[in-house]
Amino acid sequence: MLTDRDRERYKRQLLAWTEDQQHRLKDARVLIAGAGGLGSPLAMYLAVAGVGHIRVVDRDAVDLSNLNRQTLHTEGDIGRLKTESAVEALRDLNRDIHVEGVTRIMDDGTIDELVDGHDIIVDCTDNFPVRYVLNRKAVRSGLPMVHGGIRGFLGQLTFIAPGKGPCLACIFKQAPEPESIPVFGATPGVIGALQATEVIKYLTGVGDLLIGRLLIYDGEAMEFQNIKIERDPGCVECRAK
Amino acid sequence: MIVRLFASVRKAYGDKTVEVEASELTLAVLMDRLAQRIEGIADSVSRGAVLMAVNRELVDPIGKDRDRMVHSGDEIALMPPLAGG
Ligand SMILES: [Zn+2]
Repeated sequence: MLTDRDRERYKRQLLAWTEDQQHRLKDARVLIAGAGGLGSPLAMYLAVAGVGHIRVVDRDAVDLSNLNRQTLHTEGDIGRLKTESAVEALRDLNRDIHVEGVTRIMDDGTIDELVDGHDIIVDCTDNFPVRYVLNRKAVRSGLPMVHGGIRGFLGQLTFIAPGKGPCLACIFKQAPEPESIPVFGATPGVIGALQATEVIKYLTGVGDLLIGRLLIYDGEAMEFQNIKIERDPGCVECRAK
Repeated sequence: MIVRLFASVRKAYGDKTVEVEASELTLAVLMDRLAQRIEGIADSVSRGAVLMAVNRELVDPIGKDRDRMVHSGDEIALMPPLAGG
């Protein structure tokens, strides 16, 4: 049930969807992998929209050089665990939801415990090895996952629906070469906000999800492109599933 | 024929686009031509560390789409996965 306070707090978005759909957000459990450049706007928009249960997983502490993009954390948080400052920031935004931080490495050994019980995974990580761990878990458990990635003025986004569309390994067979990735905050701001949009669409049932499409955002040209993507019948992760 | 380059491929080549002198050719031949201009590109594409899109559709220029023809005016792009978050 929505409370009177919910009706007031979410008044403006209840013009975009119904109370029943808002209730689905309230009941939802979202796993956010990474509290960095993508995780910051994503988590903030989900929190203020009233997603009822948010778990943020990250292993790092806040560093001064994170602050050009990771808007969940402030100067006063330098040296603290990102999960702590993230949880605090999200609670300040919305005390009516449950927010939890878990400081853990995400690998094939920990991922079940971290993810089980959630309705959707949001990939806000900064490296492909962890993305492949998340993807494997999504495929194995039939869980949807919203993938985002950025570099400089470029961003990419897709919605992974195991069994319905390509998984991450169908699209990206191999991680790109490791490099020091250029980034300024506005690019993950764009992609993180789009990831939040996909999560809210999935949970409320509004709109068409970004399944079988890879959205490329090019901030230099100021263009968005949808690239058609397909399941790979020989995919090492999702074949025969 | 113009091929647009993104992210680390752009950085490696030093320009946003690479022009290949041809009005039509197969993706396999295009890859050969690109390999002469951009160091390591054939290897990166064959490993899947760089993706190719033609007219907003992912293609496999070394595997199943190698005989597919592309023409000048087609929108061709080379892009690595974006790993940052
Ligand atoms: Zn797959």
